[in-house]
Amino acid sequence: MNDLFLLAPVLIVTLTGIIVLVMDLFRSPEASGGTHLAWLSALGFAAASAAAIRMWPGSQAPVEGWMSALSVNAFTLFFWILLPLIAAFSVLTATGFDRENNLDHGEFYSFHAFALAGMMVMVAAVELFSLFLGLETMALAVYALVAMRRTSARGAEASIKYFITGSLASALLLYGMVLFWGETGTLRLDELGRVLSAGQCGPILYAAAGLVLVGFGFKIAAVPFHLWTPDAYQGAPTPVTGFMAAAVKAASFAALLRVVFVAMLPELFARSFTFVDLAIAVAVLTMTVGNLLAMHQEDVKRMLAYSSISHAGYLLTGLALVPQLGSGDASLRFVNGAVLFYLATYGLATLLAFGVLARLGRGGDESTTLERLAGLATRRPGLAALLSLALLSLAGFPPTAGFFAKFALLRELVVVGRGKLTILVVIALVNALFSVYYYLRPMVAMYMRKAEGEEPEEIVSPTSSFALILAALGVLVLGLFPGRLVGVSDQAARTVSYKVARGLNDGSLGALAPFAAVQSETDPKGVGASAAVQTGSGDDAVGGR
Amino acid sequence: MMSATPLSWYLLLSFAIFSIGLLGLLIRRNLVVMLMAMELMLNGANLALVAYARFRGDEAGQVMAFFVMALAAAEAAIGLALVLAIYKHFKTLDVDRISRLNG
Amino acid sequence: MEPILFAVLAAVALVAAVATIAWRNPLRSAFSLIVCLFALAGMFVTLFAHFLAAMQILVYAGAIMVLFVFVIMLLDLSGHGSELKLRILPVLGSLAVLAVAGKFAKTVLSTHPLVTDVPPAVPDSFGTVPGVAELLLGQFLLPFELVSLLLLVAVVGAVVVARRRFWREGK
Repeated sequence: MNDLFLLAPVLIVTLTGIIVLVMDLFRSPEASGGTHLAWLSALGFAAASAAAIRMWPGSQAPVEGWMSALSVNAFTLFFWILLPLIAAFSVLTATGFDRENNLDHGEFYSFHAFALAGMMVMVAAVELFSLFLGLETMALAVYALVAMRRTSARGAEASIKYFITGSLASALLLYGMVLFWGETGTLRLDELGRVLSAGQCGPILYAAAGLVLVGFGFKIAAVPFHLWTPDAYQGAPTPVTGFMAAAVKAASFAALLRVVFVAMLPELFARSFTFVDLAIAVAVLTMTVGNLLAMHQEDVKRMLAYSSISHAGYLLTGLALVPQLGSGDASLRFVNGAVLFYLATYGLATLLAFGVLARLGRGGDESTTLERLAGLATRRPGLAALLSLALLSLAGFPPTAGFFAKFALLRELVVVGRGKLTILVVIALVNALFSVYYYLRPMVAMYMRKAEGEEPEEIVSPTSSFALILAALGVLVLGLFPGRLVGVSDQAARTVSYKVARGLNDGSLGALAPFAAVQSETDPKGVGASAAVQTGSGDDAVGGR
Repeated sequence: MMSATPLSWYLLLSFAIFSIGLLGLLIRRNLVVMLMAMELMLNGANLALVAYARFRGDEAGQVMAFFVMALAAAEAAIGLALVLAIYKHFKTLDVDRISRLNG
Repeated sequence: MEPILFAVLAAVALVAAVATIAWRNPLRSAFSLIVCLFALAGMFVTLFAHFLAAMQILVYAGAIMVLFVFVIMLLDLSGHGSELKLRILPVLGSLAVLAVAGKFAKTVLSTHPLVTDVPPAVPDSFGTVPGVAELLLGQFLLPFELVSLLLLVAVVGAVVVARRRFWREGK
């Protein structure tokens, strides 16, 4: 029974989805718009989030029985608070768009709920098979959301492209999992971690780990598995794109972090090349390619799709940036809190941006080109200001949350990298500077150009405006007073950790070796600012046992 | 004496079927055939699961294979619905000719 | 006896799998896939997965493939298969797949013996309904509930994606 209470947020979300679906059946055909359905789902999501806040910081004790596949610790709860909030904002900002595009039906909102339930299981899972099924639930619901506009050929095209790459990714993930299970007899991440770090494994496990990582690479759109992203993001209904960019990405990243850290994949790779090198190489590639391709996009939606790729690149440094407590065999490595903070603020800013773009499509003509934005500042100064705020946050200007997120991440690169990652910091900085160029282009269009010909109209929706203003306040408040969230994300991140095993080749930075500064071995405790941890905080890690 | 075929044969066959599916997904352009190639990949995984289950003496593998079947059904349902939607809009199932998004 | 059965079933499964992706006519592909699924079901029986073998035939070769055949007939695709055009990216991808497959085969052979590998003895109930059901509703209860949600999403999703109009919209 207690186990069910632990699942309360997920159950609330699922129930919300079913209630909305059923309520829609009893709506009379003449009833106007589905705004009340949107509000109902948003309230359900908010309730789930509130329940998760009450449960903070979660239990440290391992759960037995059928619930043992999930671990409701601080890391899980962080995402159980964040993801429902993202989904709630997403359905609220969608209201006006839905009315115009004939999407204001129960299915639209309940798919958000079901996708959210899948994500919540996915981020909580400490067993690969449950994680996989959560991921599939999320993916199928999102495929349906993307294709839901029946008049839109682009929606169908986006959905089929997303579907094919998504199913390919899950097939690879599945096969990797099967090999893990077959060779070790377990899919629990901590037990896998024990096997992998003990080195009792055959080379098949390399293949398994490779397949799992490639599967996740597709999901988070890391280069070179990013090719589906621009089409899927551009063709999807705009609010759904926001949901994909914010929530799906956050959930996939959370699951990836958990798999990598708790199953101790870095230990597996320690023998041939270091996992850190691989992570750094993919991160650099991802941020650079994403930024370069974003430069020349005329469609703001497509541009934001590429920008989301580059943000995934910044986030991937989190796999390399591993704060460490202690030294030698006794040391404990944990996820970097800056990454979780970045995920939260990126999600908020992205939602805001897509929420404003969703307001542009009057009468279902969804045009989000730079041309279409011209003169928006004179027509709808409020929307223009909100979009500008979102873009500034994505670009990392103070005083927005995006600035602090980038600052924290780069600071961690310097501190945790102990000076060895200087070149990575430079690459990230240069990327951030270049990205300013394309983030400013829509603002130039909005404020400095006039609309040519007939002035296009924007959608009026008080509900959407309310949600957008809330999100904008969030972006500003988190930028000005980030302390609380930083503390929370640090605490959450530390619960996912592993004990350093013997085989780990720590100092190597092969991918960046040509650039690497002189290695400083003099600072054994050099963990930096965030190292003031109480030991034994990792409950689903090997180190906790 | 039952099942004297070593595990490695089952694994090789499973991986062969998985690879054939992957190849089909890469070289075929017809959406329905691509969906079938995906089914092949899932079946390859299933065979490995069942073979491992036998050789570990652990039924959990069979249960997971059962879930994979349900998943395959769900994916096929959504995938075929998408195929119908695509055909309605484009009058073709050739992925190379389905392109309204600028890239 | 059993290795001969394996050889026959494996040959059928492989040929049918290749045929699935090689036929230009999607209908023939579908029927090849059904043959492949049947061969795999036979293999499940030799692996003591009786319940799963029955499900493979009923659910997979039965229900799912009927869906495929139905869509192919509905869209009248049996006439025009798509051309097998060779382009750079897929060809490179395929070569990579083949290379990885070869590497994997070597890995498998280095880990598991190729000739003698005796599986453990299992109880009679192995792979039967009671044996599987106990796990399904015990240890795997959470995935079981999740799958029910997944199927709900698939059912509603398929209706929403393939429908001609929302019922509310009228004609």
